[in-house]
Amino acid sequence: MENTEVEIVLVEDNPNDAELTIRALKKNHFANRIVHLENGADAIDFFFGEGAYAGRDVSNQPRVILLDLKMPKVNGIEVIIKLKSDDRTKTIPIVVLTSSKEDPDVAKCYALGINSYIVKPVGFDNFLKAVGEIGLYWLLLNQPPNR
Amino acid sequence: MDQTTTGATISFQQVFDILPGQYIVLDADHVIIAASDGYLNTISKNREEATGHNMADACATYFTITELHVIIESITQAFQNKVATSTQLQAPKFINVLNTPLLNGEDVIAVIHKIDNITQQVQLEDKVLHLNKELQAFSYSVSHDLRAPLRAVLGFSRMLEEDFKDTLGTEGKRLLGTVCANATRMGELIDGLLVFSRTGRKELKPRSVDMNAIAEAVLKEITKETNSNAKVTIEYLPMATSEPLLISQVFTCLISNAIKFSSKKEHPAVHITSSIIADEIVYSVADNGVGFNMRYADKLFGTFQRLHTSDEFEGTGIGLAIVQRIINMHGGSTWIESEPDKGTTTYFSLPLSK
Repeated sequence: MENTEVEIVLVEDNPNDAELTIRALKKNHFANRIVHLENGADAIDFFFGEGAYAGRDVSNQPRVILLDLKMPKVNGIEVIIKLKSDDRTKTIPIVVLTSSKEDPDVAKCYALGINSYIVKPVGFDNFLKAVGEIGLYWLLLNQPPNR
Repeated sequence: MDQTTTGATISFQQVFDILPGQYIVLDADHVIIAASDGYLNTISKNREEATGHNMADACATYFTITELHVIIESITQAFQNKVATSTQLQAPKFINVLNTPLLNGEDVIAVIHKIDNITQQVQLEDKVLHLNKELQAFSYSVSHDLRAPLRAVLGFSRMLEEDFKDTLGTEGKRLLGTVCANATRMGELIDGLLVFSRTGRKELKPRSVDMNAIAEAVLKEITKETNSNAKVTIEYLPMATSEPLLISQVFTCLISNAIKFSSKKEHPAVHITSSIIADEIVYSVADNGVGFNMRYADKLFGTFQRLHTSDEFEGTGIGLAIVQRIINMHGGSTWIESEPDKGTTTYFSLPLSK
């Protein structure tokens, strides 16, 4: 599977949030080729073809990354820094998904070059809508750099 | 004071006996001529151990060598330059030092050396800063860590409802609905708490504000969101020096309250006006709604205090607490008058612009 085309990479350590996000994507018909990575360390391995993802074709990158910030070991900020400082990954759009607009890291995230910052709504209907709009925008409306 | 003190022979000691504070008087050799009780207490010496002794010797057990060095330098300058000098000792003791030269013609005959120990004050300020930081971290954690499980409760309830529609039955759906309603309400309470704690941390950048413009903008916003048939009248409201965003939060709360609590009347009416009382402008929002017994008036400005159930009137009970916090930040006050079935008037005052 490691070389099939990937459209969305979801980096989320909370299994409940991950399940909700994936379900919301499916409901909005963006179920194709989602990869769910459970922490920042896995994300780094995935994008650079290291560790468990050794041998993955790293030129096969997703249309968008949905990234949680608060994760154990390698957190979201570290993932952003790593991805944005490497030519192979710096053009992949990153949408930060977080639980709180109180997050002290919003400005930092933008300075590091993320493309969007979304507070996960508590209510399921709004959550569904938000995820649907993210999918619609990044997979259908947005024109990616040369692929 | 007796008559003899009107003469020129009043001694320092006599003055110090009635003047609170920590002073000593030093001659040009830094020998202590007189000392206040406060000063003696501070350095833990009795009068005999202090007066007639060199200041550095008398205070050697209280000040460190470094501190003494700073103090003596400052005293010496007062003698030499014939002007008052001041300095501040930093951690662990925070002490303000003031040296005032006493001139006889061109000569400095003595220096009054005054100290003010502000260590406690500095420590309290540090503590407040620290607590504020903690509160900030706490509200972040509240909003982040409590929202995630709530999202799961609501999301998974919805999945259950969708995936097991047929097996749940009417009663099952009702129970699930109660779960969701309560989780939703908890989300609202958390959000309210966050707004409340954020409001207190906001830095004020007051400027002259057109209160009519704000009240009208707020009213427009509210009527767009609710289908109220209340007749709202806004009279002339004087400008006030305030933070416009916060004041618009105040009007939002007060006008929506007035519309909400009068919504069950046949002809709901809301009246917004103002008057100038002494050096304050008092603004008021009055409704002809349900009102309440004034016995409970003092409770209403507390957080999450409500006089009605959510079934009667929805709400979290955070609004007036936020209003009070905002108005207090502006140096004003808030109060409320009401009569059951007649209506409620909420007042807030702001200082008159100078």
